[in-house]
Amino acid sequence: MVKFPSDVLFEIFSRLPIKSLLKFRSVSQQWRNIIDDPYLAYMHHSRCVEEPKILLLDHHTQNEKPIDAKVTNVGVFLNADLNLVAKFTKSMTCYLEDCCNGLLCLSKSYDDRFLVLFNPLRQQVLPLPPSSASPKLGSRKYGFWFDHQKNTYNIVVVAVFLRESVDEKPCYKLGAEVYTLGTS
Amino acid sequence: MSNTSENPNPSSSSAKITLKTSDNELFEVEEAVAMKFCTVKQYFEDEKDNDVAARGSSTVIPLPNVHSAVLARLISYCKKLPQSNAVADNHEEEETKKKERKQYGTPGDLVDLISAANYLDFKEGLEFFNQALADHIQNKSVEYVRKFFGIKGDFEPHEEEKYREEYAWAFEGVDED
Repeated sequence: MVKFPSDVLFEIFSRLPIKSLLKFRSVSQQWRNIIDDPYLAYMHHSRCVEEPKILLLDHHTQNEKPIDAKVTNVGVFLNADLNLVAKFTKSMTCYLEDCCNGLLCLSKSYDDRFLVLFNPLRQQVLPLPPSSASPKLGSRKYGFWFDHQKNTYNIVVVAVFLRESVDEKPCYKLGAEVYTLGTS
Repeated sequence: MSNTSENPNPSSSSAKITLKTSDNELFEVEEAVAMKFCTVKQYFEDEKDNDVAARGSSTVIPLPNVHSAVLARLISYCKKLPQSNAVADNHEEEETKKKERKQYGTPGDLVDLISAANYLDFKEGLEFFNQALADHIQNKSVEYVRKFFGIKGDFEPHEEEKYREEYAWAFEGVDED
């Protein structure tokens, strides 16, 4: 009978490949809770347990010229079913906005309110609330990062939106909004 | 840091500290080695502040959670501490390191070493042994791991079965126990 404190288990888990972690999620509830802690994903990523791999996404929107999305340094995707990622991006006509700790942040080509996080390993999708800013968002840029001090994921959207002014000259305004996910 | 022989301060390199294990064995170790164990270091510094004149360096530091066999191995590990625990640059280097870790002891030994290193707050040792244990279990079956850690599966059988179907690929390629 081995009695390790959970911080020792955490240390050991952060040195295991993703495939082993997924397997060991079925050992017990306690193990699953430790493995699911977002901080583990961060630690895991920073330890470079797995060799970085390059994943190329190539998807086609209907009646449109092909759009290429490139992801680099996504080592945690090593054992992922890449067909799934491809399928997802194809069916949803998404743009890859950013990636962090193996999670993808995707937006939809023609829908400003659509923003999801996608975990290709777990095959889970998390839709995010639409921006409260004006729906007339012109151009958008997303950033996605993990705050390891607060144990939260953050997504920032910076957008330029167009407002009609009285004399009909275009008027641009820059706005930013941050989503925070997880508990601090 | 571990190079005590060229320490410019002879008084600190020659100092010895006595550690007493759970089975009452006494270990006389060089201060530089003992200071790798943060728990010992803390104890030593507290003692020093309290009554340096009365007992000085003859203090015996009790380690009630560490057996002599385990302490002996930790000390020998300390003395030939690998250059670094840094991530290997390439595949071959990683394989060499893996072999080195494998030779270090049986999985059962590793558990004792990890527990002791954790208690002693011996960072480098803990990293090394944790990695060695991770190497050992990564391709093992869930059943092996449960048995090894003495864990009882607490998922409903149908729940567990569903999970295994969903992530079937993660359960492939398991080593024999």
